[in-house]
Amino acid sequence: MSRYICTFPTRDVSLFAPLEIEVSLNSSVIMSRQDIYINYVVILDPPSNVTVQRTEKPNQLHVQWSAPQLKHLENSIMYEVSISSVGSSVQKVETIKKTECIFAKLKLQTEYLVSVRAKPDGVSIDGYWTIWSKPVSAMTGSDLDPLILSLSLALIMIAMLLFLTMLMTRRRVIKEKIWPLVPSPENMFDGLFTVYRGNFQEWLGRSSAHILWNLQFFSSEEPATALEIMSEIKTFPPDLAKVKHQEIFLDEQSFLVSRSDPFKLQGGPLMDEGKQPAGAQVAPNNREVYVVLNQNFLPGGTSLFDAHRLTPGSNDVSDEEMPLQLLFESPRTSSRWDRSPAGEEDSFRDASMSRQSSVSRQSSLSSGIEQGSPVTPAHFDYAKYGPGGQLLYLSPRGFKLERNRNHPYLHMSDSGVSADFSIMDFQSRRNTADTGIYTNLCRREDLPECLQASNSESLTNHLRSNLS
Amino acid sequence: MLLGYIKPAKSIPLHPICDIRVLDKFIREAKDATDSTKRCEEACALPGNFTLPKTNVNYREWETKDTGTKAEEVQTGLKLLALAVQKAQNVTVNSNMLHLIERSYSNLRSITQMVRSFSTPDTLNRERELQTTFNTRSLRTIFHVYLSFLQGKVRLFFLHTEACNLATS
Repeated sequence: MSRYICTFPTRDVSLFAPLEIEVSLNSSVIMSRQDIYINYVVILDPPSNVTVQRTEKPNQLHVQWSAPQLKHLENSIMYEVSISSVGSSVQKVETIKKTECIFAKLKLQTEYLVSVRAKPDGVSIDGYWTIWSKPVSAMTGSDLDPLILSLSLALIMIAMLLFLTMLMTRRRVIKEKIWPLVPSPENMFDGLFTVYRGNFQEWLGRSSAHILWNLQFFSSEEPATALEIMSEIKTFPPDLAKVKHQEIFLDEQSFLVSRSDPFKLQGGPLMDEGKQPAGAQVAPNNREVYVVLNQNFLPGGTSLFDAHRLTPGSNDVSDEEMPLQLLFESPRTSSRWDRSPAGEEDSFRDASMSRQSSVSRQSSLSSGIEQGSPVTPAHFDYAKYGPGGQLLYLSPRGFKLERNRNHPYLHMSDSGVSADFSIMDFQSRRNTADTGIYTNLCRREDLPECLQASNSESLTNHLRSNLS
Repeated sequence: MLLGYIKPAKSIPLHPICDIRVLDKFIREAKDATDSTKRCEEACALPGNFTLPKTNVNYREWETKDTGTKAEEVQTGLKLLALAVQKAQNVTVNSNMLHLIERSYSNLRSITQMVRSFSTPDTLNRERELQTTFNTRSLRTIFHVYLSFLQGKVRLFFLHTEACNLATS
């Protein structure tokens, strides 16, 4: 079946009225006749100049095209716009009468194809859809706008710069917080770390700060007190080193020996019984040296108690210096002492020799005195007993209490510095009756010579009688 | 005091309604009437002759005419249509058809009013000389002519008249 096309010029064509079309064959046979309204069968050209642009929002696209240039059909054409992403089916179709369109809510960063077609709207002119225009592709935007990216990067850089500068300026403070300094005690100890290299023992011993340091840490509340010499002591034997009461003994041997010659002589015979102590020098630390408490034996009056010569009637004795010296005294001995100092050596010797036998000694003592021979001095030997009766100290000559009971002895009990010892009493008693020094005399039943304090006078008399 | 503020209202409309959408609405209604009478060959036969205007429009010809001529053609055509529809309304017995005819008649009157508002009065006198008419006896032809006339000449007149501010949407 062939198809025939007839074209008429527009000046011959009238719209809005029925147009009778008659097809005849050879002008005699009418093939067909039709009345058409041309304004109902209009086909336009497809829209041209389709443009797709991005809007401010990244997910929007703006489509524009130009209308067909038919003067009298301006408001009678409607369009169809189709948009679809690449590779998928048609997504959206919009029918509008304007020549522009905005598609919203699209996918980001995707490519879209847009095409448009047209058709008369059918009010006064009607027709058929045109073909689709050529598709135009366009890409939607993305969320990461490059401007925003650059701005945020700049902000981050500025923040980091600020942080770094703050770190640099506050480095010291931060370091102190993280690594706190360990305090050093150097300023409290002068020279401890510099001179002595941290040796605390050396620093304590040698530096002048020792005194200060000691004073600072060991404050003694008790002031130094004057020590009262109660007796001239010999060096005590080593076995008594632990005894507490030895503190009251003073080592005055050198002092005693240096002052008087007979003291030297005393040291000799005491040690060796058979020796002839002729000018034997006694070492200062000779333990055999003992004290003679009789001032009358001292030559020339030079004695320890120089300024205090004792006479029966003498009152000017210094008690602090010589509290014990008056125990034995005899006015005759002093004169005899002056006369024959040499004989005293013999007397001493005799006295020492007779020590072993109590009877002979005593007799020699007494005989020595009675015969006018040099005064046999009385010996002061003492032994010290503890509270339980144990022997604490014994004089170097081994004087034993229980053996030598025949010669007078004094048994005393004392608790250290005795409160009963009264200096005033001593003074008064001396003035009155030449009493002994010790007033606090104990009582011991088995010792007939042990007298009480009230019987001190009798004691001294007794002693004197023995000596004479 | 309140009466003082009342001003006498003008009797004529303030501004001619020249909205193409109104015309399009009339056209749609005319199209409905035409569609309803497509199948009535015999029922739509009317007694008597009805004179109807010719509605064919050639774009080139149309562009050569001046505004006065266009206005005159539109107005005479509308007048003929109104007379014919009115005559048909008197004759028609069918209620359905009557409804359509009445609505068409009212539309015609409105359109005539609109055209008269923006046309000069001197053109009204030449209506019978230039107009070409034809006669018919069918109601369907009346509606067709009515529709075509609105779609063609009237619409073109509305679109390209300077006095008419078209609010095309």
